[in-house]
Amino acid sequence: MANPVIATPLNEADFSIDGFSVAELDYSGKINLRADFESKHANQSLTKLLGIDCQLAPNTYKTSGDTSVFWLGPNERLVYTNGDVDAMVSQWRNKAGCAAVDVSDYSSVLKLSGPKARDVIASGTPFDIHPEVFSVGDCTQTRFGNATILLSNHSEAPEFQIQVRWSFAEYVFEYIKRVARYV
Amino acid sequence: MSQSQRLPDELPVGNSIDRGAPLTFTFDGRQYTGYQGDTLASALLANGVRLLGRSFKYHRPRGLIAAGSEEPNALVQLETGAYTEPNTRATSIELYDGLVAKSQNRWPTLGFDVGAVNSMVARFLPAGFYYKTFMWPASMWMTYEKFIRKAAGLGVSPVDDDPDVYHSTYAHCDVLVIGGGPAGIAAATAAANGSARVLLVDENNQLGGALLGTSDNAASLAYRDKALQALKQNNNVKILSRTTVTGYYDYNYLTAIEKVTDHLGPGNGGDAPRQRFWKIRAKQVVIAAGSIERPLVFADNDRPGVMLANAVATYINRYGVLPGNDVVVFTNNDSAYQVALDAASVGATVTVVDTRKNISAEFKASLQQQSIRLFEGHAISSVRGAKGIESVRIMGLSDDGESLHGQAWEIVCTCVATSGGWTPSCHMFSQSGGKLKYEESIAGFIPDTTRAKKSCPNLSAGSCNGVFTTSECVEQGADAGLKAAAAAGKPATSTDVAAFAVNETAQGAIAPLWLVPTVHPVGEGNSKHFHDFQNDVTAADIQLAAREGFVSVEHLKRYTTTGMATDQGKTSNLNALAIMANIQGVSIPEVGTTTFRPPYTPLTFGAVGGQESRELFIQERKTPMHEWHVASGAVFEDVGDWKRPWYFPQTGEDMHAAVQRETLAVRQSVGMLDASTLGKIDIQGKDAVKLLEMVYTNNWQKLAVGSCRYGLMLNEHGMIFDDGVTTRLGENHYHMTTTTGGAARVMSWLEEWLQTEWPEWEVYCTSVTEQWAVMALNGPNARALLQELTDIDVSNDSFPFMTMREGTVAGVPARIYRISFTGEQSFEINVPARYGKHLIEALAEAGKKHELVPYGTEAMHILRAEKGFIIVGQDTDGTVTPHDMDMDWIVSKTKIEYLGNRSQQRTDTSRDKRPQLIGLLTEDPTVVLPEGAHIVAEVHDQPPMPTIGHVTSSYMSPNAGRSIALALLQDGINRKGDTVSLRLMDGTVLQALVTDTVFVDQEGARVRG
Repeated sequence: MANPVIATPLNEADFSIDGFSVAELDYSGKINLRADFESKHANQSLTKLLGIDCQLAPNTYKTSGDTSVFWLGPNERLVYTNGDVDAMVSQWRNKAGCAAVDVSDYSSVLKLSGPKARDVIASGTPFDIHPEVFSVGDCTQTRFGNATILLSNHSEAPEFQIQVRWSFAEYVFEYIKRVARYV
Repeated sequence: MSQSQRLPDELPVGNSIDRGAPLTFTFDGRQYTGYQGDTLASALLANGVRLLGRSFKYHRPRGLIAAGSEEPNALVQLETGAYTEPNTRATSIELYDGLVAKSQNRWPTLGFDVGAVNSMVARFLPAGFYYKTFMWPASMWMTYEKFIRKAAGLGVSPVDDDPDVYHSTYAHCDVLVIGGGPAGIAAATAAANGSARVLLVDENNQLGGALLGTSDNAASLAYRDKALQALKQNNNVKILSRTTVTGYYDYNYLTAIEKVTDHLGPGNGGDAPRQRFWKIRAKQVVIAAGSIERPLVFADNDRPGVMLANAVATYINRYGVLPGNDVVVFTNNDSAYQVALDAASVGATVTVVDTRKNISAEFKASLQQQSIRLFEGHAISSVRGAKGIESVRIMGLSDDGESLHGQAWEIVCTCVATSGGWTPSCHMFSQSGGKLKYEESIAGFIPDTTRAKKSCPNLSAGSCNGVFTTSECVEQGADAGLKAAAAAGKPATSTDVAAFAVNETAQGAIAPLWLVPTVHPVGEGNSKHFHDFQNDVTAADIQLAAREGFVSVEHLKRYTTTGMATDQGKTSNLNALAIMANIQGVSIPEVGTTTFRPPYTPLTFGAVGGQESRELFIQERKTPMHEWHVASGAVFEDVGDWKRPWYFPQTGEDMHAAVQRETLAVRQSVGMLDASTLGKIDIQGKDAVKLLEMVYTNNWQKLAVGSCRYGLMLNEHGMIFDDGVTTRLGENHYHMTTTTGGAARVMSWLEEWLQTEWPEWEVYCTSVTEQWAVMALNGPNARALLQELTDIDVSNDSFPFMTMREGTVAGVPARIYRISFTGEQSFEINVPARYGKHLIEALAEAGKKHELVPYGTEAMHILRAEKGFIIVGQDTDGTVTPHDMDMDWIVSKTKIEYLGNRSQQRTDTSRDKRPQLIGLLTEDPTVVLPEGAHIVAEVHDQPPMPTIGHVTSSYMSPNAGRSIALALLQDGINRKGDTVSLRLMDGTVLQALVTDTVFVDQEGARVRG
């Protein structure tokens, strides 16, 4: 049992149709980070650890290498990383005013791409995803059908990511597959 | 069958149909031919079919009145079997090959209808008949209803599952243009001449609006095509045809229905959905919805063949169908003159009857050229022909319009084209919250922009705003488009929207005549003056309403049901208001208008539901171990949205047997339960303990790192609202668990208090419910099994009850909580969710030699009830305090402040004899009380009898060897040892002993062992 099978919610399922593809991304580490990011001290030390400035404009994300930081709220960030999550979490947790939680398994991340991607997403989310209001580098917490999601824009191609809670992943994936045929 | 009324190909009419593409269809079992581009209405008319249905109340023969979606009469049952749809308007059904339709509301046949006897006994079926007759006695309504529904219904609903698929989607735009006529196209063109995102929506299969039905429209259609071409090339513009905006809600949220594949016929749409429901958020709206012609209200104006004048023109010009060879045009305004000319130019014999005198020489000359007879100052006094009009009688009309005089002329005709003026379509403006104003010059209501709702910014343009020439419509549309784009923050530069060249006669001068007199006073004699065709409401009904005091416009509407049919009174409302105004001797605006309500036209529930049907109707949440449960034959229970294993039946076992086996096994060997669905919240920060002290009733200051404690949460009213175990993971770090159903509620509760009351506290809550997959191991063999898989020393000394240890289980990182909901030796193993499947497989494998049994929620419920552990939401219902639950032990006597504390001292919460949780043992140990059974103070033969409590949980307990129950009983704690009576629904009376709530292992030795 040295190498137990690692399972993602959808076992990295994918689906393609003319003009649209969706695929579950590989497992990656995720950390929910709480701090007063306005405070220089907190921000500097986090920046040093991550290599990314955590002071983000609301509803945006930044990527550097295999690390991304998403703005979730004034004092909340979400980090995607392939680094040692346990080590990072314990390092941050004990800093004054900071909280860090390993949420690597909390959710599934789906990549949606192809010319029909916008129409597929618009079928489930009331949020306006027109490039003029939601461009590459933007993210938002909204809903898709009945699921709460973190939606981010990754390419004008277009390419989007939907992060959804583990137990809603199958529902969202099936929803996407159904509407992809209709748009 | 030949298309007897189809005009020959040589004539320059019928631009919407393709004569090279004939289509076959069936109406009432007879086969007909039409053309691609026809509507069902135009195709039937082409075949000389005039009788299309029977009316709602009197079962009178009815034919087509309109050519558009305002049609009140021609409702048909479209298609058969699972695809059938009732009450569809023949005017809105695009013809396809193989279409099958049936007339409605007739029995046994359309030609001979038994219900027509209603027409003969009409004097006994006045307005308000149903209300008056069936108001009393109320108990009889259920009996009456069946007959009324059958007699007064319309079509028949399908009984089979809907075989179609539907799509719903959201859309956002800067400018939404409703209506693709000249005004709408101009508005979209102007608005899109900058960077504005424009959505142009039209209900027809092609854009053009009123232009489509006019003669000599080639130039204007060419202009339309050019304009649309430009719009289509603009990436910021989306054009939706076959799409009707049905509702206009607050903050410019509008809904529309797109008929995606309806026009292809059932089952021919491929992967595409049948219909699409659009949920649109628009910064600005331009309403260019056009106007609807009103019928003149004359005696027996509902006979098949009597149509709106513009419908006659549309059938001629657009579809190449002449509704009748002999046409009488009956009008009170100028717009119908072009209809007379159009009809004459394709060979009809036409007579114009105008209620006005002094018709202009210009008009007279043009009529003369086509040999059209003109009767000035005349009106139709009566008609002949029941199932199709055969002739009309006309007489001179008095100057005041109140009476007829002189010689009656009989004119043979098969079609009456009637125009009582034009009603601007203010539905959308009214739905948006705007008020209307009466415009004398057009005899109609138009939007009053000074009384628009600020939160729904919109502009009206074109004939829905009271202008009727194409050039004015285009001008208003372009202006509205520019203004809307600017208001949306995307100003556009002025653009060339040259007027559409069109041969038109606008409404022009109008002399309103709301009710055409006949030789008898209205309401006497046999003839009827209909104003609302679909609900069969006549002018006499309005008079009756007035006599009975229902003069307020809203009362009038409900009393007579005028405007309440599926057509929403599109052709009838103004006539009804005007007739009422006349009766009361007041002006029309003084009567006022009723409120327009969504939907503008009927829409299917399928479309509103969209893709969220069947398995996507509600999400099924599954744990990481779900596959294992399925493979192990679990029967699932819905807990919130979660699918949780209910029990795991073995071959030949029923639910009872399986649950009893599982329940026994947990106390005799070891059981495992998927507890992943319980809510989990990670709490960090130096003020974390302050938060716990506030939200729980007990003390948390002294909880050691690595220890667990049970807590009870109260709401402000002092009532229990959740419970769970919280563990101290580190100095300022806690792991809270909640009930499955309460997970989201508790998270919001914590956030709400932190954000509103204690924002200065340094404490952060993060939901980790789905981060962890959780298996609970319970039973005497639990320790031995677990020890095989973990590097943690799980002996009682080094891992005592109510503590937590971290290590590995089955080779993966885990936190083990030694907490118990069963009263057994228990370990709750938490692993990151990705290892959940691995964990359960490893446990199942290693568990074989320990007699491990997977158990479900039902056994879990019994096990906890055997120990008297409550389930929040089952044994509590939002009205019970900790004291009521006999849980004083968990309420701190030293804490000054915690949520719900003060409410414990309220008069009602601190009074004696509140319902309290107790155990019940039935006299007969084999009888399991029904949950919800009432404990009564005195037993009577019949209810009512005083209830003093009820059963909250009840099971057959294999470990107690008998049935057990928990109940809430008034003053229950003091009544232990008493015997109480329970009266069941079927009258059975059972006796039960009031006991303590713990039925197994009273000392609690097993859980600590």
